[in-house]
Amino acid sequence: MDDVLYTAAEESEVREYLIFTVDSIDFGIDIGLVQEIIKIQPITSIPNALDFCVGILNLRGTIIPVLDMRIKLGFDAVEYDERACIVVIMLESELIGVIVDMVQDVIRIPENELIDSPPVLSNGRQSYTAKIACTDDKIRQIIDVNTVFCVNGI
Amino acid sequence: MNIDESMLDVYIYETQQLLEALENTLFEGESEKALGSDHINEIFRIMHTIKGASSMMEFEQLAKLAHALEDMFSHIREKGVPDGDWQGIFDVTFSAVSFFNGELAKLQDKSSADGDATDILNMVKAQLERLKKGSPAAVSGESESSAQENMEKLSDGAYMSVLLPGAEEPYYKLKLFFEEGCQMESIRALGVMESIKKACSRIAYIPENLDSDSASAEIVKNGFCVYLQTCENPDVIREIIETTLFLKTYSILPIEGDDEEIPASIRRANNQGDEARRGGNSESGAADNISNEFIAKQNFISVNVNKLDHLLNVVGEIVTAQSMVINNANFGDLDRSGFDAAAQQLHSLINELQDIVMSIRMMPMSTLFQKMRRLVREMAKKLGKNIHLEISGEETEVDKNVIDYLSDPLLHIIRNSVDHGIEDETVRAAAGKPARGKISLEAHTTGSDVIVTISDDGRGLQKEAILKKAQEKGLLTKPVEEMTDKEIFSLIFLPGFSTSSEVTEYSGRGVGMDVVRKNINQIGGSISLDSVEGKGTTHTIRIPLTLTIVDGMRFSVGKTSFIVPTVSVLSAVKPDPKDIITDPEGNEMIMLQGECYSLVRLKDFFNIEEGVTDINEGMCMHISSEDRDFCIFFDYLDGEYQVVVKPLPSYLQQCTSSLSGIGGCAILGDGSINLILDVNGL
Repeated sequence: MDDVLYTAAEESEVREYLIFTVDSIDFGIDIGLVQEIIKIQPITSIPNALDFCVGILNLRGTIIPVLDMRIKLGFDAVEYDERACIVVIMLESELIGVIVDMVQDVIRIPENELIDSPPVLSNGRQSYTAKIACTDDKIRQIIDVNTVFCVNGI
Repeated sequence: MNIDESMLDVYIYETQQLLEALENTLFEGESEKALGSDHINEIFRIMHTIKGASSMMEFEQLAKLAHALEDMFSHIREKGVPDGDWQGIFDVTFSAVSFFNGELAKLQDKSSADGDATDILNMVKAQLERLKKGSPAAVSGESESSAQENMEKLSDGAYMSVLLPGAEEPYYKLKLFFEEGCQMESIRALGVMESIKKACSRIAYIPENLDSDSASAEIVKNGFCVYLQTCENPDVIREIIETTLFLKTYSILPIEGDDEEIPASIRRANNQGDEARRGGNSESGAADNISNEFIAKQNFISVNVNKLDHLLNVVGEIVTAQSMVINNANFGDLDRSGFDAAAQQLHSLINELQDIVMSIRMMPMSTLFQKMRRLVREMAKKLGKNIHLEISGEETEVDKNVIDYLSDPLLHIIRNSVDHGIEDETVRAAAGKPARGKISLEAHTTGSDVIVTISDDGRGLQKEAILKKAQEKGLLTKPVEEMTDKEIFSLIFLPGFSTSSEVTEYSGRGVGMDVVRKNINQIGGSISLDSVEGKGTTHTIRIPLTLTIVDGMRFSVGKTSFIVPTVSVLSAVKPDPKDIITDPEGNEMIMLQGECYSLVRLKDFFNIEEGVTDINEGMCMHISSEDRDFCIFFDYLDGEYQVVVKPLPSYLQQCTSSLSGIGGCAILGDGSINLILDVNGL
């Protein structure tokens, strides 16, 4: 068994992804970018915020902006239920919090099981989804965090 | 940090101190067009110390240069300056100081001091030659040898010449030890000796030869021993000695006239006086031996700024944590009076701690202003302008960070003033101005802010040129006729604006006033500008004294809580609807104590959904911002807090349409975040 794993790893790099759900669609992000996952807590709204920005949050003394993944990805806003949580992501040198409907699991996906998504959508906007993973009969979209949260992506 | 590095740090620090003192002396001398003998001795001493330290650190070029300067000043001391031609001396010395500073900066950046001093060295030598030729009394060769002789006496000679033979003055024996591992003991010893020399009529010391390699080792082992004769109270000597850096212990003992220990050279002259006093008090010496040993006061230590930053952060967190603890204490039915007293004590201790930390970080602006002085001098020389920089308030103390942030903007503004502001002498004469241009640099504090003004009496800003340029670049947002002077001047702070058509060496390198404003805004400060064409320009920079902790009043609009710095608040009132006036365009104003102020409803300004709209139900606060007084309207006032200011995460700029009016945020005792109102952005 060990041998098999070893060869598989050698053939193709295996990376870990955090799988979360937004509007019943499964997304994944590179676990290396995730600093922690916290439950929903009081968020201070800020004036003149754009719709996807919920406000700011005190994470043990550090102030981080909190964004709503639903709105960012173009879904309608809903009330957060008890399964919703905030994924704290390291974006370049800054931390941001992202509210998702639910966090499922951390899974390992070998590089060769990832399919490149078409780079540009028909409307000319860059796609948020960098890769698509088909494992265990499920389709998961691997999100390119820098594209989603970059200013050019708005 | 290894020994070499710590030694290098000490070398850099001390040399910088010396250079700063040297520059001060030179500036003083330059304004009087001559140096007094005190000043010359001072410069000589500084150069000697730098020479010694540099050669010890094996910075050959620096040592050579210092040596050449030492020669020059030694000659000046002996022979004076013929024809009062001081200017050449100042020029040479200033260039040498720049060279030293440049090399020190390299060392600080961990690169090697590889500059070649040959050019400056030749300049110094040429200057010395000129001096020698110029002294009518002295044949060149003779003066050289006497300068040489004088050198020998000072740097290598053990016994100082007799200055004022005072027969009845008592002798003292002074012995000092330096801190272990402080390095360069012999140079330090020389410094001590030079500084106490002034107060003594005779002086001699052991080890005799401070320039020899073994001197430091001997001082480490046996201490530095000085015999002196003085009419001053020993306390005076003590005072001088206590200013010495890295001094561990010292003792000062009176010694009897016939003491064998006293070197012959200072004893010789007054044998008679000694005879007379020989009898009575020869026994007291031994007893004093013990009681007169002092532990020297350690006056200064240098601390890594990162440590202070860290300390400040921790203190900020303590302030927050303290109010969290106190506000969340729940005793139920238990007696809490003991707790309240303890909490009160904790509170005052933490306040004190905070004040101390803040005061440690405070630095006078003098170093920064000194830098400007150098800049103005250099630039004026190169551009052939005659400019005088007037400095006041350099003792104003501000946070270390503020100084760091302020340095570049100041440099830029002063460069602009010298380069573009002050005209050539001929132009000035034609305009009926004094030939000598004046730039004044002033700092003073008001409450929680430091105000730095830089004004020149140059040509001022040309409104027409600014408008034309702005139009070309498409920076105008409203018709020219409607713009006030202030609005026109503020155009030059826009990115991509620079009226200078040609790039000169000093300004106009594409870095404009927009960068200046950005730098100042970064530390919560602001800059404004006023100018009269033909008369001059005044820049006013306002920056907070410290960057992190403010007293503020908390109030709410809807569900959002804001904190406004207490210094900006003039008063808070319950408004009366009949005091509210609305103009035809719908702008609201309020009458307060006979004055009319515009009223900003924060609910509308920040587009907050909930919140009071009825004037009767809300509150008003009279706010003083930098350029105007106005009133804000909000729901209710919530008390006074001391908060630690945190910058807003920079990513937020991509999440909002506008952050104007918000200066930062603060975490309160209960962990909640409050936004800090930026009154200048409303």
